[in-house]
Amino acid sequence: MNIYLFEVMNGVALGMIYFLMAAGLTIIFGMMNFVNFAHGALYAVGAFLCFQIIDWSGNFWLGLIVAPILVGLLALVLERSLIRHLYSFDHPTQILITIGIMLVIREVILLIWGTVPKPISPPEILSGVMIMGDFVYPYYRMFVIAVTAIVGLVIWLILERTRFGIMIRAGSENSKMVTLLGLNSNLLFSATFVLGAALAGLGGALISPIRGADAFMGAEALGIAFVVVVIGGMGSFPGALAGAMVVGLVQSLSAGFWPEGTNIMIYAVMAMIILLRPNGLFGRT
Amino acid sequence: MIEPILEVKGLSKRYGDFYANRDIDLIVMADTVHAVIGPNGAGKTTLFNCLAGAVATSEGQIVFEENEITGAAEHARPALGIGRSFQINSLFPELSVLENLRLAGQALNPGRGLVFWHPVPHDCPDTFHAHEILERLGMEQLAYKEAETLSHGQQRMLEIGMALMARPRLLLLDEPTSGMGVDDIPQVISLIKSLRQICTILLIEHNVGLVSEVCDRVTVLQNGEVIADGTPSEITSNEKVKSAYLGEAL
Amino acid sequence: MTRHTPIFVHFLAVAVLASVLPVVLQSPILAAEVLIFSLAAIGCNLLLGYTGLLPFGQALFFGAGAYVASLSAIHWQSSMLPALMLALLTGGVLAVVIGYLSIRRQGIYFVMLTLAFGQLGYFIAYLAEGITGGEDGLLDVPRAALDLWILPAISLDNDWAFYGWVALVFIASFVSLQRLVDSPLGSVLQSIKQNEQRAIAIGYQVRFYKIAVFAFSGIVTALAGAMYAMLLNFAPLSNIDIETSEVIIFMCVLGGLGSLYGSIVGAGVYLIASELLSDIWPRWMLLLGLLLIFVMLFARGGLWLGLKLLWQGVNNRNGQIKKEEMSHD
Repeated sequence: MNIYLFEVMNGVALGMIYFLMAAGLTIIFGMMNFVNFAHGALYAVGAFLCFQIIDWSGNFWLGLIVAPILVGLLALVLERSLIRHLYSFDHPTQILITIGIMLVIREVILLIWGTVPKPISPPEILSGVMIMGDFVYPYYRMFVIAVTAIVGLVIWLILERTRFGIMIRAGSENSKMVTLLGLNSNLLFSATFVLGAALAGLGGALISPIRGADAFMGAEALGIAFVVVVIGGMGSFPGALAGAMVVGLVQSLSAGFWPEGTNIMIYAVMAMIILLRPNGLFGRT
Repeated sequence: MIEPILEVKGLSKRYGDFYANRDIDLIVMADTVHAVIGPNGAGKTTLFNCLAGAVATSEGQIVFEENEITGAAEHARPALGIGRSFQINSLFPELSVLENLRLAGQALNPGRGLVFWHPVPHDCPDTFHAHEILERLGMEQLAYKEAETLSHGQQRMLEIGMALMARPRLLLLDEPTSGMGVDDIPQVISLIKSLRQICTILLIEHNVGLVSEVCDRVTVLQNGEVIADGTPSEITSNEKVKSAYLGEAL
Repeated sequence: MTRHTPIFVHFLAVAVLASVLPVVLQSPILAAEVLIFSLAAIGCNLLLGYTGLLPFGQALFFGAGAYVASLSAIHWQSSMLPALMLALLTGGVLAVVIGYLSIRRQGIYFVMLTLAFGQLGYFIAYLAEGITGGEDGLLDVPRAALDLWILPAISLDNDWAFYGWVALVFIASFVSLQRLVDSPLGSVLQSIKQNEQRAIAIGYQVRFYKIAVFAFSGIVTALAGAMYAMLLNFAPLSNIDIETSEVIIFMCVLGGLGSLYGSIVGAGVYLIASELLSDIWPRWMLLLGLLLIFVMLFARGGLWLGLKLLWQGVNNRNGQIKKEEMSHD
């Protein structure tokens, strides 16, 4: 029983990281109809910046907070200089250009930090394991679940309760709505892109003490994030959460009995959902 | 003898609970020019798309030359004898004018488009036909220009020309003068007048001059329903039509 | 209608190219690699450059071709032609099935479907260790001999002999596909790329044409994969992974969308650059990324267009010089 609980907890922790990645991807897609293949690279940047800040300051918390902000700034520069000109292009063009951006970011990471992945250790207070009866679980993973839950809640509150959130929701359900409502779409698009990128950066920073910082980590995460977004329905924030949980749990639970088969299941499910329910399992039909 | 070429019986188009078209009856007689008019949002374009097969009809029937075509696929309709033009220019922008037309001709015979083992012959029947159409449009000298380099007015003419390549017996024109300058409109009017010798025309139009000058019959839509049907002079004096257009210049 | 260059001109052009290439590169192996990946890039170009479909799972056809040809050479000792034929057939059938399913969706959803099928292929190949060798790939793939009807079998174990065969296959495929893109079918593909809605409205059953172009793409990509395995004597798992799909797209886009010659340039530049640069400056992919962005933003014609403009520039200057000389006279 406890081994299952352990896997479930791992699945939730993994799912929460996927959620951070997918939330940005899905909001950006819904609002600007923009497909960002460089999203995974931003996630990797988050991990490396976190590493660097910890390396300089010796303070994990500083890294965790500043890295996503810096990723947001990088995203702001990217959006203002290049990406905003791509919103009106067709998807293949957007994909190819953002793959170019992804390559550039990845190679710059390799130039700065080298090819050897960087290990990062969790802070003293979060290292070690929690023991409850015969259930043993690392503190740091509990922390990941808690932080992402809080961040998710805050984002949800922003989306539900603030004017900015209402604009984003209106925009991601119907991108024409933004102009119809006479909103400043340039500003809104920048803000959405930066928010999405910062979430990816936070995801990268959070996972780095578990997996280390690796220049190639973005590619895998991007693939999974797209699966999550497809399952949840492109453009749906709650769908991203649900999809992330499904993928995280499936990955973690199947790792026990058929680890190699996990990926087959994930991609088969993705293909089936696109073919049968293109708005996602949790989207409107 | 005049017979109906197109009969629309009780046609409705629903989007969820919203009726874009409700219970439309429409008869277009052969060898006439028939206009569908109505204020913005009246459902003209939806009706047009149902006739061209671009959207599926929810209820009702479309009968063309005594055959029901309600469910016929969009790509199958040109071969049945129905050609359409678009309100917003919809061309192959980087291809030459001649190639735009030739492709529309080639499409009528699916076997021809599947040939992959030899180049497009220079003397194929579609090319001849394309030259004929260009002559009719008065655009022979533009044959080898890329479509995107034409003026808006010329693109509008090419738009109609592509629909003509199907040798349609029924030609659907979606606002043929839309976006055109006043100077170009007489050209369209004379084209439509010359076309009535070879096919029946059903058009959506806002230009009142054009409607009253070339049309034999006018159907007026409002809120997705037919509110009047008659000759142009009957329609202009119709009270219902006047009130439907209140606030808009007829 | 555009006037097409006569087919023998294309034939001569690629025949000259294929004869010069191994001499210039001083390696029949690198030259064969360039021609093989040119075919793969052309397969991608048929979809992306001519029809406007971005395929993210081309490695599936490439890998499948490699596995099938290798397996038939290993287990049945089949000679070259049957081995390649089997690979073509597999590529074509796979492409029809995947094409049929993928084109039901548009834009990003289409891309995601091709990606999903490609990844499925990868993980299935990874798991089917008994057949594909799993992570290790298929080792010791023999170069099947060329056994043509009554003629004595020709061994292709020598790298120059094998290059000769690759060059023949390349020239034949290139000329056929150049003919395809100039054909009525090619013109329909162009119309779909430029305006799908209108292509349907004038009477083309667009889905059917898209499946057809998928089939051609799958066939030529599988052919490339099959010859690649024979070249290396090895069918690695990486043939079928997503990176191979990406590399094929890079070659196609960099070389130039909508030109078969562009794909040769793209494959050549990519392979030669990675050969030369990966030792000197392992981060050369940085340039690749920048180039990709530049080409997509400003120059869809890619490197091929660049070469053409350069050529025209040189010609114009020569022309001017000649004119000036004339006027002096």
